[in-house]
Amino acid sequence: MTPLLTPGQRRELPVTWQLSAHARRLVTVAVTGLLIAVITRRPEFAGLAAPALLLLLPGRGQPPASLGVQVATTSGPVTEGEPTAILVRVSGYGDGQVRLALHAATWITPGEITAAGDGWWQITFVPERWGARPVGTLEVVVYDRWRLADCRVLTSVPPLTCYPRAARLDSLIVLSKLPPRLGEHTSRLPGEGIEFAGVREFVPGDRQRRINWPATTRRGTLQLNTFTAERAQTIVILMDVSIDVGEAGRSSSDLAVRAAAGTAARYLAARDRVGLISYGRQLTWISPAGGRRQADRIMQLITAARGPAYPPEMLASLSRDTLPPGGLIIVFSPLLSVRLIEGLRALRERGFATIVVDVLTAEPGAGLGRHRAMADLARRIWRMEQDAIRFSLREIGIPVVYWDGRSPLDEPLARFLRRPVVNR
Amino acid sequence: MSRQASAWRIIASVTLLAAAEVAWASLPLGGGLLRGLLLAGAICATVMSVLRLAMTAAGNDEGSPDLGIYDWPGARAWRWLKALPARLPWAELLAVAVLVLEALHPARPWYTVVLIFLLTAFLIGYHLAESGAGLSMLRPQLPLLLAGCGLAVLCAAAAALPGAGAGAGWLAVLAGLAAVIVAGLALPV
Repeated sequence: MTPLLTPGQRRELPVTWQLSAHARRLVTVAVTGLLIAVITRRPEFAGLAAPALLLLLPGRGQPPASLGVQVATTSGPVTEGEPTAILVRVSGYGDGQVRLALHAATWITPGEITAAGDGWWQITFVPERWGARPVGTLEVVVYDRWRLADCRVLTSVPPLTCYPRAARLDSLIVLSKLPPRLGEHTSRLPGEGIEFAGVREFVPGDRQRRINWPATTRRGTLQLNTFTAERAQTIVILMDVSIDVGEAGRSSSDLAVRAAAGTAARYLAARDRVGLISYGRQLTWISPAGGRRQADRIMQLITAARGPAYPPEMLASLSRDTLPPGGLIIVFSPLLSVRLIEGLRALRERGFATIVVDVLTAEPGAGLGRHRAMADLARRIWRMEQDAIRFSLREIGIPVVYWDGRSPLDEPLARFLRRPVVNR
Repeated sequence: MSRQASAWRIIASVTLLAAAEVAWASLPLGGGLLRGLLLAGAICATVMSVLRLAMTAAGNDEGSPDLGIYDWPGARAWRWLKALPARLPWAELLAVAVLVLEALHPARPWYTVVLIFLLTAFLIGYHLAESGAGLSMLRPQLPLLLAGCGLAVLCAAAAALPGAGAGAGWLAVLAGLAAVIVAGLALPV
C-alpha cells in the first residue's frame, strides 16, 4: 500500500539550455559535409548539409529560464523492504518533454517512473536498509518540442526514515515473579483474574457467586473457586549495535535492530511495559512504559541507532527507572564487545533475569597463499574465544541462544516459552 | 513489453543502416593506409554506437565508471571497457569517417546522394532509439526533411552536370554562408 504523500514547496530552479545530442550530431554532419565540399570542390557534399540544416531550423525558440519542481514525499516512516514512492511535478517547460531519473543512494532499489495524473510523476523504490538516510538525487531533463535543446536540473530528494523489518515473535517469555501491575499474564498469586487456580474453604466475606457447588457437595462444607492474578511484566531490550560485522542487510546490527523491533512490538501488544537500551555510538535508552506512544519512541530510537564507535558507558550506571528490579532483559548482541559482556555479568549479579540472543553472522575470513595456515589458526583461536565467552555467560546463569535472522524468534527462544523464567 | 520490443526493433534498424552506410562508402574497396584506417574506425564506431544504444535500452546506461583504487587491474580494465561506449560521441565519429571515406573516392554524385539518405536515416533512427520517442515525433519535421532531401538531390544534379567544376568559387561562398548559418543555429542556445 502506498503511504500518504505530502507535497513540498514548489521550487523555481534556474536552467541552462544546451544543444541536445541529436542537434550536435546534425551540426557535425553539416559542418563536415560543407568542409569536404569546399576542400574537394564537390557540390554533392554540400547537399549533405541541407537536411541537417533544415532539421536544425525549428529549434530557434525562447526556452524558459527556470523550471518549477515540486516533490511530494511520504509523511511517515516506511518499512525496510516494502515498496514506497515519491511524487514529482515539473512545471514551466511549455510544450517540451520531461524525463525523470532517480540517482538512488546505495540502500535504495529504484523502481518504475509512471505518470500519476495532474502533472505528477510517481517514482517507486524499495528501501533495502533501515535508518534515516538520504534517498538520492533527482535528475530532471527537459527537451524542447523538437528535441534539439535540453536542460538538466539536479535536486535532492528529502531524506527518508525507514523502520527495520520486525522479526517475527508469536509467543512470549513470562517471568515467574511478576510485579504488582495489572496486565495479561497469569501470575502464581491468587487474584481477580479469569484463570482458575484452585478450591478453598469459604470464609465470611467471600463472594457467593464463586462457590463451587460440586466440591461443596463432595466435602460437606462450602468450597470456593479461586483465581490467579493477572499481571504485566517489564521487559528491557538491549540492542547491541556497537560492532557491526557481516554483509550489509544481514549484518549483526541489522539482525539486532530487527529482533529488537519485533520483540518490542510483540510485548507492547501484550500490554507489557517495554524499555529499550541502544548500545551503539553512545548509550541511549528509553525507560519501560506501555502504549502506542512508547512503540513510536522505541522505533525512533532503533532507527537512530548508530555504530560502531568508542565503547560507551557501562550498563551498570543506568538508573532503576531504566532497569527496574524484577524485569526481564533480552539482549540482542554479537557478543564481540568485552565491555558489554562485563556489563551483562554485572546485571546478572544484580539479580536480573537475562537472556542473550546471539546475532553474530560472520567470522574472520580465510587467509590467502602462504598466510592461509596462520589465518586458519587465528580463526580457530577466535572461535574458541567466542565459545569461551558464551560458556562463561551460561555458567553465571545467562542463557545464550543463536538466531540466524531468517527463522522466527520463537525458534531460538522456544525453551523459555514453555515455562516461566525464574527471577528474583 | 511492446515498447521494449519496439526499442529493440529501432536499434536493429539503426544497426543495419550503419552497416549499410559503411559498406556503401567503402565500396569499391581500394588500397591505401588511410582508407584502411578509416574503414576500421568506421566499423569500430558502428559497434560502439550500437552498443551505446543497446546499453541505454537495457537500462545499463552507466556514465563514467567509478574506478576503485583497490580493484585489481583486470576489473578496472573491464569497467573502463564497459564505460567506453558512453565515453565518446561514436555516432558523430561514424558520420565523419563515412563522409571522409566517400570523399576519398572519385566524384560519383548519385552514389553520394544515396549515402546522404542513408546517413540522414541513420541519424534520425539513432535519435529515435536514444530518446525512446515514437515515429509520430517525426511528423512535424517531415516537410523539412523532404525539403532537405530535395536540396541534396539538386546539389547532386548540379554536380552531375558537365562543367560543374567551373562553379566551385560560388560553391565556396555558399558553403561559407551555410557554415555561418550552422554556427548561428548552434551557438546562441
